[in-house]
Amino acid sequence: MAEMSEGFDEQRFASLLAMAGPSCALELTQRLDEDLSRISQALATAEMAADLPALHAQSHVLLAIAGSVGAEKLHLLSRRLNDKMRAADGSRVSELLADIVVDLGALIQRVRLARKTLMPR
Amino acid sequence: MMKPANRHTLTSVLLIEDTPSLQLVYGTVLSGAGYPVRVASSAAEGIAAFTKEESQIVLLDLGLPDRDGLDVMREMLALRPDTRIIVITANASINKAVEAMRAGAHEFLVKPFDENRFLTAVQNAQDRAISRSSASRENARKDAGPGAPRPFLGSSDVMERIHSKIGSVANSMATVFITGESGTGKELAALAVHASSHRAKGPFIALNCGAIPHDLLESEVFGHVKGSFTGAISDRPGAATAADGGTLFLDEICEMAPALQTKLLRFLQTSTVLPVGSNRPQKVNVRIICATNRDPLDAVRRGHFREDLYYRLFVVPIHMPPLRERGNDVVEIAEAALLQFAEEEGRSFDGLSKEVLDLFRRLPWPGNVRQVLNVIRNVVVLNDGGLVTPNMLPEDLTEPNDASRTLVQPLVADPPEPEVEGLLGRSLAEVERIVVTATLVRYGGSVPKAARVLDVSPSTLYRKLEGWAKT
Repeated sequence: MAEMSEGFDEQRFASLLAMAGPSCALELTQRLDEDLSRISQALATAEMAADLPALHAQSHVLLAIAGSVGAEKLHLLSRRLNDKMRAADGSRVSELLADIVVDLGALIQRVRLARKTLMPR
Repeated sequence: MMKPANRHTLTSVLLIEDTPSLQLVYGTVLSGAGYPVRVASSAAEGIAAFTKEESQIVLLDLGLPDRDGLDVMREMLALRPDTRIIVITANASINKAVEAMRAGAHEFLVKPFDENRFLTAVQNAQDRAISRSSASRENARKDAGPGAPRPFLGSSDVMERIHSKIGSVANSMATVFITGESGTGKELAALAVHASSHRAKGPFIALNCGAIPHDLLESEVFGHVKGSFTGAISDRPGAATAADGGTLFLDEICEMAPALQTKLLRFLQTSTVLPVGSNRPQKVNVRIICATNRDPLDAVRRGHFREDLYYRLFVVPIHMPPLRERGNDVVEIAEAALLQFAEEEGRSFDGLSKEVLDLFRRLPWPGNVRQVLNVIRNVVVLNDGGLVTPNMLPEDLTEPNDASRTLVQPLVADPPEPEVEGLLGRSLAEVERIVVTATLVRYGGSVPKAARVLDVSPSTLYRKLEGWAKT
């Protein structure tokens, strides 16, 4: 989990889970896991196919989720990708995506850890 | 967590968002604040839920998988125009915000989610929804009752047509452009349009564009934020915001500075207000009524008034006729004023004599209704009561062929027409007074004609004359 501490607002994430309350927090982490994993898969597919509209769509969802849960660095990276895609700028996208994949993976791990702690024993 | 002010009146919110985790985040916050929430995951599902239920507030993600979010919003607003739609998007561009606001969005939120901004936006929408439904109920109640009283006196044919036009236009959103000489009742006509409309329970905000210094007018219309200029010690909403849900009456519209005309045009196109010093546009729902005592088309020709703004505003024109063209209305107005002022002053009068009525019918009344009211007030204050006869009238109220003296007489006993040499050595204020007086003499005491020659509005001239009369 060391990777996630950089550019991640733990307090924001914790307050989001607290706001959801015990009953919804578990479901929220499950949905986050599913959404983030889906985005990760979709980004990889879109990169392989050089599908800029798909990258645009995925960056839109990712920046919204990342910003909501406090993943600030990932939010910044995905906003950068979103801006590039909106401008139909395909340059240096692979490098940007490489950074996104790392942070996205870390966020998924962070969410799974939170989910684990929320599960009834 | 921020809570809405009144939990008992919360309306349900329709949330249209396709990402499951975000649905849960938004839904959790809304439920926690007491709002009943209904969630839809696509445009189709959202439209179906909207059609089925009376949600007054919709939270709409613009990036939906099956349809463009703005199209969805337009469809909803076409079905129920009163709906408050808050759009949410990851695209923070100003163009997108303007496009959404222009299409009718209540507010524009940029992702990522910020709890406070989110709840503030929903609460604002909630407040508007409540006031709107209260107003609708009140209007429905009013509509069921007897007809509204007539807004102003006058049963001449020309005024009957104006009453009828006001009744026809009141409930539309169309901009009303009222023209007419000073004192003809333009503001009363604007009030009548407002009072007869569904917005009657909303505010009626009047702003005289000719009476406010040009450098303050923008702040007066659109408001300002703290620190935006020297003296802006706190945030202050402008007239356009104050009139939200009601009517904004812009008097002497042709006196508006060109730079502000551009901003007014933008406001009319987008229905959004951008206070001075702010970068957050705010959506308002305002009906515009404007008025001028100039010929607006002439102001366009002279380059004083933007042509595009003219065409945007000049949708339903209402021309208030001068009193001299209203036949017997002067008698109705004078008699009603006598009753009202006598009651206010605690006097008892027996009406107007035949001679006075005949004189009133013959007089040209260059100051129109305002002048009649001043004359009657003068009579009531300076006399104890009885039948009003010609000797009780102000001395300066004379026959038409001597009308030039009516306005000038109180100002200077013997109006001079000095040469330039005679002006040298005088203060600028004295020169102004001499020139204005001489112009009035030349144009037979007609304030509108003198104002045209001096290139000021008649009301400006009336204000000057009133000020000088007191000195």
